[in-house]
Amino acid sequence: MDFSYSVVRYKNWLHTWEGQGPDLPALMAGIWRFLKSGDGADCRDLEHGFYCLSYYVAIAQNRQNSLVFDLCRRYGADYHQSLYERATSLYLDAQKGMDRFLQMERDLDQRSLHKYLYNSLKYILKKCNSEWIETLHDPNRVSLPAESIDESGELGSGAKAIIRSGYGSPSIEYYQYRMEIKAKAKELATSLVAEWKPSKLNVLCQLYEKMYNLDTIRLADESNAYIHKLHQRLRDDLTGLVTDGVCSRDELDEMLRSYMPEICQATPASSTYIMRKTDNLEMT
Amino acid sequence: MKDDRLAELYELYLASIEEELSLDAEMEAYAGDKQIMPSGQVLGSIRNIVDLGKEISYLVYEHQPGQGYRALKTSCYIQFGAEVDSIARGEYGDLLVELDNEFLLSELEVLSADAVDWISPLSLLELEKARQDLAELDFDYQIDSYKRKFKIKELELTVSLRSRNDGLRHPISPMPMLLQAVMANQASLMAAKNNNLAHAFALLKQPQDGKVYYADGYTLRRENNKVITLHTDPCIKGRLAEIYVGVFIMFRGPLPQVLAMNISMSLAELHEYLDIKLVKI
Repeated sequence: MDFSYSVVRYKNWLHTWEGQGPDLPALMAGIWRFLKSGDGADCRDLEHGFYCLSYYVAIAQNRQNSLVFDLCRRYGADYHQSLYERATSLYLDAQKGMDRFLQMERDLDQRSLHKYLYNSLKYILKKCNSEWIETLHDPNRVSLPAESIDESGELGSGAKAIIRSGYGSPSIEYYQYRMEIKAKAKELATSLVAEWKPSKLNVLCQLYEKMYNLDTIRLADESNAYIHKLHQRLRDDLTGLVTDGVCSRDELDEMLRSYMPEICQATPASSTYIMRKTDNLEMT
Repeated sequence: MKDDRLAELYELYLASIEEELSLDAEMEAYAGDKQIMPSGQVLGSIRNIVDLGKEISYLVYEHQPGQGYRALKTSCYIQFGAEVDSIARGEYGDLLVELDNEFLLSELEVLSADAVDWISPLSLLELEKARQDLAELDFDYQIDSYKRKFKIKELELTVSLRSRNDGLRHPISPMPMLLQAVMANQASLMAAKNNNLAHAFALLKQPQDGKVYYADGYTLRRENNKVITLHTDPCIKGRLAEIYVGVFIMFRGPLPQVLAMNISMSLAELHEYLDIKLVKI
């Protein structure tokens, strides 16, 4: 994804945008298109989307943004550069939740989706603002490449410039790492289904289904105290996978985040820990 | 430089607490009635609630059928984490889970709030373990000033929500060391205030076993080493009130008949610091 970011053009865009009156729905629509856009997206659309996101950074946590503005003056930093950096961090962090956002797009009407997006980005933005202050005090801080800022206020070529510069947020290498993690998590899920006893998987699935408020018969005939004990054992078994070098914590977390539906689909549901023969028929 | 960074982060934290009134209201008006999410992760999800104009983010920790959900206060400002807190891995990075800052929310409050982040089943189990360990330990709150300020602010934020906790089973304020640290500065002030005859006579009235203390409007009883119960007189029971211990707000809500508090101090000492302010509606 490549586009040009210019302070001058952002200010012009802002002038036009604010001149038309505040329009939150249009802002959220612009941001959502930007978050979803891939390599084939039109440059103008990308630029508009990134400016929407930058504007969101300035207004969604207005008090925090005022503080950042003051800090820029105190430390002789460029406010627009900070806006650009924080918007880029927000974009990159939001990408981690894209699967969920896309699911929400399928489940919700447009207004509810926009509200969901608004709240989620606001939550992530707090972290981005906090990270920006951390980098302000980092002696090894990597600012935007100075050579890319020309007299017209050009700040480089969008998200890619930031990713390449290694500023604060995830890099391309990070995304490659995430891809590897996902692949290993899938292998781990397969091996768990093959190697763990169904009774142990039943406990894992009971926990998962409880977390998702799903109707489940798993362990329904066991006491709370016993389930608590089983959960303790499960915790030790799961952490044992990491300490024994079977997988990394990232791979384990990814498996637990992404592959539980498949694991529980393959695990017979039993109302007791000791599984009865008939339980094999009660697939969820 | 290190203090500058913490001071600025603390300012940033304070700036994040207040609701962005106009923009948030605009979004609420645009989105209309809240849509309850039909599915998705509930336990282990991070959500927000606004209480008295302040934004409070929490982790949904445990379902209590018929009562709602138990929640733990969370924050993205992990720099202010104390020994009593835990760090969990969210989808967007690490987050601080405050194990001593727990409250009860209704099903409607939880399910109508958007889930903005999630922790994994293993992280949830790890938190359970950390909470068990917490019950067995006394924590040292002699921590640096910004961490202490942060902890006090976080507990203040949730005071109304924590005051909903069901009386004796979940005593309010599980932070005796923090209280003592905060009040150490006030000790001389209180001593000066109480240097009079009325105070001396009030002390003479009290039973000598140290297990009960009678005061105007309430009685204090020692249940064990850590828990003191406050029994309100019928004339103020049910009234909307704020209870302060020194400068520290411990309770905000309708006064119950009995309120349990986790405080390690003598009853007479607690009485010196206790201030019940009835709130006019």
